Amino acid sequence: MLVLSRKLNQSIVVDNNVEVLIVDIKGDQVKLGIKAPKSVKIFRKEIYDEIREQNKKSMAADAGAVLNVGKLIKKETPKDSEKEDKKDE
Amino acid sequence: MKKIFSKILGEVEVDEKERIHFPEGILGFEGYNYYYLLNFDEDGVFHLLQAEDDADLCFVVIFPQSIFHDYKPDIHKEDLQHLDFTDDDEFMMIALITIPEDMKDMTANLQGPVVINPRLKRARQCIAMNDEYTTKHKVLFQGTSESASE
Repeated sequence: MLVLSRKLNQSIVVDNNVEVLIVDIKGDQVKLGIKAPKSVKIFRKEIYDEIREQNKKSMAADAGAVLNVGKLIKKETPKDSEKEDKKDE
Repeated sequence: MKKIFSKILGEVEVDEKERIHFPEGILGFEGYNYYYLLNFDEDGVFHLLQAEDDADLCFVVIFPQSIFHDYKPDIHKEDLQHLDFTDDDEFMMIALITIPEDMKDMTANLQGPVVINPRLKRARQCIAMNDEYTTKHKVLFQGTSESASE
């Protein structure tokens, strides 16, 4: 990993078109400003981690449970459709 | 037709033309690139996204808009480019469901929808850029009876 030291208001440039600027430093928190073309996707890494973890939890394990999920929603959806009907009135 | 094995559904006959390609896999399950979307729920609300090569790798999924009617994830252009959408293509989305021990608490991941181009049978798990979506939205609307009677 490349490690660079930067001070407040200093920045780095990645690939000629992405600039990462140190906007603010408070205690253990650093605020970054990022200038990049719209085609560049920028997310906090935690979002990827969260989705990855949730995906693992989503792996279907219990056939009994899975095959019964439909029954649950049957019980619950009439309420929802009632709501829809009311909207139409 | 081809036979594949599913931990949930057992042996299933599938049409290879329906096979969905995930060039990047699903986050956390990279390396598994081919899945089938299987029916098992007679009402068609829930489906099973089953990996072709691993019976144990499958997910219960929904078409999120069938339950979350206002669901409108903001998907990054770059993600869509990977799926080569043209103006005529249908835009298909599924959300992964997590079923905890108490099934009533099951949740849908609306932050990481799987977007599919049905024409190319190509899919990609994307990240919704809107702040309002999380990985855990309750699927069942217990407690909505009150709001429904408003």
